[in-house]
Amino acid sequence: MELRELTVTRREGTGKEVAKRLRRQGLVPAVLYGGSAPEVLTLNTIDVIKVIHGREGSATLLNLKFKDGSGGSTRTALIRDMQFDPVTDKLIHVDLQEVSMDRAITVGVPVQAQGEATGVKDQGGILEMILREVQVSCLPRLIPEKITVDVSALKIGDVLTIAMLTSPEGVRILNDPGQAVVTVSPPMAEEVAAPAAVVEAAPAEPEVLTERKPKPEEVEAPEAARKEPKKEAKEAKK
Amino acid sequence: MLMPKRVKYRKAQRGRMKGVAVRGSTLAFGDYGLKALEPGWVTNRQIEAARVSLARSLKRGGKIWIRVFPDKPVTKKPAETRMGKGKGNPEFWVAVVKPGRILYEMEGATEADAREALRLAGQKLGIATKLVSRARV
Repeated sequence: MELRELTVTRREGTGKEVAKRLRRQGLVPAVLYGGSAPEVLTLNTIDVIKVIHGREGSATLLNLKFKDGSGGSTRTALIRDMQFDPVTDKLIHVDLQEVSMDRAITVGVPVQAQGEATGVKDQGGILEMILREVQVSCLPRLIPEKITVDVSALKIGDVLTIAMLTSPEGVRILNDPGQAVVTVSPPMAEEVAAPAAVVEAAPAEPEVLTERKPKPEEVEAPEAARKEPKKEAKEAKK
Repeated sequence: MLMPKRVKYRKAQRGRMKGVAVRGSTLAFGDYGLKALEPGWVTNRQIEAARVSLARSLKRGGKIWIRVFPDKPVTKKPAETRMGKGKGNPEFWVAVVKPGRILYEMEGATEADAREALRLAGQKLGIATKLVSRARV
């Protein structure tokens, strides 16, 4: 995997006020850990987006260049996590992990389906990606961009598992070998209009677990008490 | 229509909808999704109408996931009733939706088809929504 350059600046303050101010300026707060001590940094949002553009997963190796020149010669890191605003989808924070080039690391690598499945082409099925990212363990320079999986032979109901994936040399897949990656599911069943009577027969209210069921004596006693005054009232009218 | 099979209490208080959705705010199953942009109650009728709209737009060519469930009962007093005399009867069920919540997800359609299907589905809901896809940046 190629190393990408990213310019970073050391950050003085921490906390949400500082972070909000940085975001207003088009910057994004970040943290770099995995070295001797965690450091707080500032990144340019546009630079980060350029680095991750078109790449899925966390496997992007970065060569960090400190703007003030105080961060040492070169430091290699990878993006461990990115936080996005749930509503606006703007980048709000980046986690960077420093890596050593001679020590194996665990990263998520995207799985990409190759070809058109027979079940989709001929039988009208739907190709369903159950697992979009696999966890691999390898040296940082051997991190694959993606793991491609040939789905052209899959028919409806067929499942492709982790055991069937071929990983590049020096890369070990950590997921459970029996875990499903891709499957071809049958097409959606056409909706049959339910008769109106059936719809009405459906229960209107769910079962209430804490509902107090009245005792038999309680049910009989109030009914008798209610009936007697009515009779008396009728007689009085007559 | 969606509603719980059994509940602990028959009636619920209204509650508040503060903040944004943190859970359920990213795509978990499909390639495209419909995201809520404002807080609100989405009724089980609206959820069903949007689901039917999505299913009809896709014409068997995709898969749909519903990411919200109407688990809150809403009561209503009968018309022309004086105030008091206790809380009304449960009338319908709603899902409490906060901004950022993914409402539907779909897979197995082209981007143009997914965009149109989700646009039509979004019109069935009482809140503002937008389309989200996996290729975020």
